[in-house]
Amino acid sequence: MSPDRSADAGPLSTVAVEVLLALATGPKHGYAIKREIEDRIGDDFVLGSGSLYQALQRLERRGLIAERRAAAPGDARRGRVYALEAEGRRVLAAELGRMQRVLGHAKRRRLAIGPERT
Amino acid sequence: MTARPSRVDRLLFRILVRLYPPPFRARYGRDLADAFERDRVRPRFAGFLGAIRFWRLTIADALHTAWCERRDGAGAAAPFALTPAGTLADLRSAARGLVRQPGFALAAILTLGLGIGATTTVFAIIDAVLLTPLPYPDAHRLVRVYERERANPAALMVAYGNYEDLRDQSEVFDELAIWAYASHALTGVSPARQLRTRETSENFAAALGVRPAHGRWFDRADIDSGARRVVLSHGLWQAVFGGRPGVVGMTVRLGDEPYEVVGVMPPGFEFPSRADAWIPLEPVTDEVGRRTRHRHNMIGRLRPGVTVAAAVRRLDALAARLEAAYPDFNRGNFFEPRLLLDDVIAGRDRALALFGVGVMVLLLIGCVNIASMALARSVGRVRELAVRAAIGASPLRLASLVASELTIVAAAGAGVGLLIAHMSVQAVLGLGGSLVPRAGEVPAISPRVLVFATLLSLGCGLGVSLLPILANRRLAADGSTAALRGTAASASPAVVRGRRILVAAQLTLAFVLATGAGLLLRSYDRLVSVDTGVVADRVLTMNIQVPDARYPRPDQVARFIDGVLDRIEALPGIERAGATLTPPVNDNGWYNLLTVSGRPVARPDLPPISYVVASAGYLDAIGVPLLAGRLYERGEPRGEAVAVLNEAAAARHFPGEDPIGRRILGSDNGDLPWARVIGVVGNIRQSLTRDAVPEVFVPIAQDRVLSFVIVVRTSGEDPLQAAPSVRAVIEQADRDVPVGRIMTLVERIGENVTRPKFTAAIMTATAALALLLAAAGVFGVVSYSVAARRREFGIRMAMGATGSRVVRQVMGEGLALAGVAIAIGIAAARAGAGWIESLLFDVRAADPVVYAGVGLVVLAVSVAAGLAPAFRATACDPLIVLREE
Repeated sequence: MSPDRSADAGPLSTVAVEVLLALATGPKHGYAIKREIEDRIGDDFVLGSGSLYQALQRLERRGLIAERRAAAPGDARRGRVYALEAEGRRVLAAELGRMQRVLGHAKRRRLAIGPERT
Repeated sequence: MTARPSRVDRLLFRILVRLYPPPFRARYGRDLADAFERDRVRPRFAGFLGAIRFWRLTIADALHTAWCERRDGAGAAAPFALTPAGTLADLRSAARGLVRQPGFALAAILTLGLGIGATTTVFAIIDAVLLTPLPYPDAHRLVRVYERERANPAALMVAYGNYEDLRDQSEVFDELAIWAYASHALTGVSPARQLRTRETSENFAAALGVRPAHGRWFDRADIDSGARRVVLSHGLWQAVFGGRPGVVGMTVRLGDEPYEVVGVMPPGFEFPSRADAWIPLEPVTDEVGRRTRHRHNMIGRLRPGVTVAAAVRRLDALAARLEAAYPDFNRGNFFEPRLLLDDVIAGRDRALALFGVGVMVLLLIGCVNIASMALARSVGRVRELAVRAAIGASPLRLASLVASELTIVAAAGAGVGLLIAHMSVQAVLGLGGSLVPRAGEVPAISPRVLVFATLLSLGCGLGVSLLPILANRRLAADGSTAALRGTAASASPAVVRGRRILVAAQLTLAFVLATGAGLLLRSYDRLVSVDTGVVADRVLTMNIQVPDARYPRPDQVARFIDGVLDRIEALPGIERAGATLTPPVNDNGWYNLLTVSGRPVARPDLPPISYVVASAGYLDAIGVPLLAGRLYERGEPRGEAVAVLNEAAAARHFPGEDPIGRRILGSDNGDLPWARVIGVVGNIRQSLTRDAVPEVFVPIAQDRVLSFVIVVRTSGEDPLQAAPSVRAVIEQADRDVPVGRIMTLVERIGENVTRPKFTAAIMTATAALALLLAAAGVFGVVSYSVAARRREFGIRMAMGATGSRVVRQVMGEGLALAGVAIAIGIAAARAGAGWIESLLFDVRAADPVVYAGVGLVVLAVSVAAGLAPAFRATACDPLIVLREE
């Protein structure tokens, strides 16, 4: 498979962060990841399967996650299971840290509502 | 999990998956399919609206991801030699070609424009009505709550006592509100106006989540104190009070009583059904009436997180408790919450979807015509294309040359289509506006509709290009030498065969559409010939509204009405006059539990009875026969209350007994007086589609009613001629009594069929257009084949064939096409007809008369379309034809 132009760099998409978050608690197969994200966001949100597998493909190419053939407990049918790599765990932590800083920043500016002053 | 996606769903999914680039498909195809199988059957995607929601999400997701994937992977594959400059040149040359032969361009653009216009119009309406949430905050939490009985499929109105119990005990609603339909005379303005008022509980606006634009809604204190407050609709405020802001705090006279205006609602808020004003609902306090009088409607706002299914379970449990607490009144009753949006569109999604399918088929037939024309046209260019190929044009470049012509046609067609849609959305709503729910919310052309129309025309352009491109490739490959010499162009059996298949497909589609239209027309015909139980000819009707304050007691209302009716009957040309709350064939009447003296209060097998307040003379005026006993006179009751039953009530409530002389409708505790049955009359239908239900008629003096329909039997041919003098009598009697909706009884009953009439009319128009386009297709292909075989016909004529023989031979071609189309069409229509069965009344989806009739029409159309080319074939002069060679 040829290397993806967008694979090696650039910020993570929202879906990608959600996927990493879902995998942080342990390996899962694709559909379980999708349902976990949907349940977490709530509000009748539906994650398109196309978007999900695209995100999985990109994360895999960046080496953040890897495919395990081992069957998930209690499910023999869907063999393909994804797990977080060490690099993925590091990137997720970095991303969460970045979000934390953004939030902290916004809070200090009283949620940054209103016109921005410089 | 046992549920599975349908075959159509799977097919759609398989098509969608094709959008992804092959490597992505190879790697994730099975996972995508697996996710699809599980997602499609989730409860949130159940039903028709769920299916729409699912596919909208899935298609959007697939388009977006597939596009990203293909874009990111594009660099690797070698692009075909298609340069922007070359394409531009193709477009220019295509435009020149179209201008040189404007006939083809005009026909194609108009056909496509009509098809896209019709399809976009219907989509704009479907988008606004079915796919856009109602204009209330968190509208998905709003539910209508119906009271029903297990023994009776029709919904009951709600009894006040049940409302209070639900409101206080159900624990699933943030707010549960109640309303009753009413109407009031607005007096003190000239002329007096009849207002559609809604008596509501104080939390009505809060339940819907709407605040007044000016002032406030009434509150609990207003209701408890019995204060007279009114909230005006924006429309009424504008029409009567000129939109003056000072109206809040003013006093207006409703039913000749002073009401303080406390608020004005924002524009567009007219819930429920075109309300003019809202006033406080007086709580029903008498112990029997709160349980027996079913006259209210409920709307609730579910608590966040409570699903309709959870509300159903909770209300079922509560209904069981109420059944135990009030066995006399609530036995067999339960409550059914239903999403407000589903309630508003109530079954009409099926008709809208049908229109959608109809116009899509129309568009398809139009595209086939264009493809067929383009095919014939490209054969004419085969020499040019062969030359280009010979000097090195790539196949893709050749395809682009052909496609650019149709791209121009598609773009122009899209423009024409959008123009047509822009004009026709409002026109269609004007024609059938009262039948399309939420008609007021349909915008002209929304961005979503614009995108839809653009994609549609793109698809059409690509679709119609495909066939000529394929044909050209074959021609160029098969006989490029012949093509270069130009001899292959004249008679190409492959092209004739291709066009025949296309035309047969067109006729098949037209047959299916026409069958649908035929079934709807026949169903409409059955509907209007139903025996309603009344003699509606020569009867004039009008609505009046009696002001409450001037006639506070029922006997005063009765005296006023009786006086008016006596004076109307004294007019020349009038035979009989009457007044009623509930005119014939009207499903919105009151229902009461029928109590019978000496029997237990209620029996679960006897549902509430239709309860009609009507003056003496009403039943005579509409020609209902008296079967036993007598009818009540003006001035009755004198002393004991009286009642008249219909035949169905006598049979149902007094089987094997004589109902006359029995006492009904009262209560032994003295709250409600007993009424003596004095007569039995024939049945009147409450609805065209259902048999008459048990019904009881009581005089006006026995119940408080202020809105009436006056019915007048005239002796002249046109009952409307009597309208001015009848109206004058009413206005002389009391000039504060508003008169409205003057029409014949035939027209009033006809309002029940406006919806089926509209559906049948639209489908018939669509089918007629489809037949016309298909006829053009037949004409085109037969003409082409005649032109291609001129030499053959010339030789035949020279050998002594008669003209009629040649005509028969050519006509046979058209007939064979029609025969094949009808055979396939019957099978296709049978498969599709089940789908419109719910729109049909008293007609089977397999009705042989309709199929035979439509088959004949399709045959006749094909014969007519083949006639002109057939005669042209006989005009071939053998000498001229042979000399041309």
